[in-house]
Amino acid sequence: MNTLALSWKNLINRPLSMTLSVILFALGVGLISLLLLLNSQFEEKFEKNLAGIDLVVGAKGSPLQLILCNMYHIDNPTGNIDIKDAQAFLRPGHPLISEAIPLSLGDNYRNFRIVGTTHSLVELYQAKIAEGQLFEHHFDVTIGADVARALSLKLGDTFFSAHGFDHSADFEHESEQPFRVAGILAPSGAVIDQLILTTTPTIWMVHEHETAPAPAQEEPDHDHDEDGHDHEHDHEAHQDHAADLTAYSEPLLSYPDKQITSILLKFKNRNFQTLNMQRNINQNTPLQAATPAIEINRLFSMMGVGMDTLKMLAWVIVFVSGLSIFISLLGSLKDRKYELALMRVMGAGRAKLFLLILFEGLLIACLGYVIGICLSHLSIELLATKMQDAYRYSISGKIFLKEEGWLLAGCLLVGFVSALLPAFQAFRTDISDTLSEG
Amino acid sequence: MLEARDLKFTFKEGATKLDFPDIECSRGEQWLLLGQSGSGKTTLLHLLGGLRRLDSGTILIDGQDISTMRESRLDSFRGRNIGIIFQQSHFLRALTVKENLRLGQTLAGLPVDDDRIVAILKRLGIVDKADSRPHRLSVGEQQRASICRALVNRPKLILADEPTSALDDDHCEEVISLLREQAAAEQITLLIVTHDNRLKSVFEKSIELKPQLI
Repeated sequence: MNTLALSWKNLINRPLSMTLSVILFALGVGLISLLLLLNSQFEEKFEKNLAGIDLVVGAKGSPLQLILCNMYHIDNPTGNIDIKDAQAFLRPGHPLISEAIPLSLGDNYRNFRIVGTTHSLVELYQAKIAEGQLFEHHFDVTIGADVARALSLKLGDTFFSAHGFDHSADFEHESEQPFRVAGILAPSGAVIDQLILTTTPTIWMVHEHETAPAPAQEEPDHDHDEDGHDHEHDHEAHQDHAADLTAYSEPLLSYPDKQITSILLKFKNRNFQTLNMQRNINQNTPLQAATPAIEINRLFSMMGVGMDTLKMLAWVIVFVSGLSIFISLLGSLKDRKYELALMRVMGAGRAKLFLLILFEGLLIACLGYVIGICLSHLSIELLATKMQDAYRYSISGKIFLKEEGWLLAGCLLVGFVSALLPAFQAFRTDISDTLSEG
Repeated sequence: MLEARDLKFTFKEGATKLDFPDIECSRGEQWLLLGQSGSGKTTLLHLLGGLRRLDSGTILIDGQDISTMRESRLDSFRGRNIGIIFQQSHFLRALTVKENLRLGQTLAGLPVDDDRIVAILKRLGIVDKADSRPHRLSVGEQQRASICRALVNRPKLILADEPTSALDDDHCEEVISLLREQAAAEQITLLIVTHDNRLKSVFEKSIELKPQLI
């Protein structure tokens, strides 16, 4: 029987004190690993969703809200902006801007946001079409992979949107043109997986129907190409109120009085001019401009305080569990001093006794670590669905971090240190004195 | 086989100096070491077993001087060559009787030999207790298990410290005769330290320790 096996037998011979130490250890480790996992997965998702966007322009309000709403699709919009105020950014050939992507928010289908935009948004996240095609016509939608999976939507399926961001039958838009699934995107790991994409005017048309069933007057192009769209009008009940699918076929700039929610901007270069541009927008226009990277750093540093406190608490738990290992080992030495002397009589050297006790501490630490890691990964898996609804991010408990390797090293160190003094005491056991006492 | 000369020992406290008579035992001989309490019997046994270090003198076991051995060398020498039985039997509580015996083999650096373990458990009549925890055994059974542990590595010398003091007359006789039989069967030198008068009549050879000055 080797020393490790003997340590193990000694441990399970004292199940109560061992269980206490292991549970404490597992709690500390589980909490730390949970925080690490959440932090890294969130940071990774947030970074991924930055997607090279340099500036977000939208209505005045909280810059963080502007970013969270338009880039991460978590918060509500700060409001809408008139196209006439934003035309400078949307017009091609701006000397600083390499790309400008308009976003129109405000509707959802079963909690998934419907975003009126252009094909550039798909390119931005480097998403690929899995089935069908990108939205070409109004009321055609291209849906993210998570949407398709969660709602079991297939190509050609139709649905009605609801107003706002929380699905509720009361707010469903009635008597209107249904949306039709024209394409499904392959999973990209970015927020686009959770979005329903369509043309910008589709959002306008949905809301025009609420107030005035007839399409807006300012529509410049009346070239109705009915033949090309007839096959889509298979909803007899809605025929009367069906939207004019050929409306708004001009670029967005042709409709200066219409509104969008925001514009995502990519610069050709970041320099003092672009910095000035941001300041200029915020000071001299009814718009607001915010830099995603800065706002997200601000968010992380705000969350960081809470994370750090929790992490400290977790290390305190680990420390206490180290203390419990120390006390239980030291206590067990008192009961086992004859056993230790006996082992010396049977031929064990001092080093062997030292190792025996050290292994007991390390075994508790290992066991606590394994159980703690299992707990954290399991709870992340269980929380994943809930998190996805709340933060629009899919997280996974199947990811293991290299920080968790460091955590193991830390745990072994705690186990080692707590067992060191008891082990040294075992090392010093005087055989003759101990046996004479009996 | 066992040779001890000019043994002197001082306790750390410095108050008690012990002087021991010379001892010489041949292979297979069985000796009694008698003395009143306070005569340093147990200390002498610990010195002979290498559990304590001498101030001066030499102890030769099977021709090897254990008083000059390095500690780690002494530990493994003791494990292989000396079996020690104590007044009260001590075992590792976490292990069964059989596992305790296996541990005795492993700690001495010998391979585990289950046949040997079963054989001596049989000879001591406690083979049915092989898988019990030691503290579940009766006192007499525990002492027999201690004998098994002393025997398991085929030592050259068995030292026993008051092995019968916790036993009643019936068990005393039984344990002593078992111990003597087994030692004789394997040609092991046996040295029993005791003040138990019940044993005096059984052994022919004995050494008397004089009360030491304190």
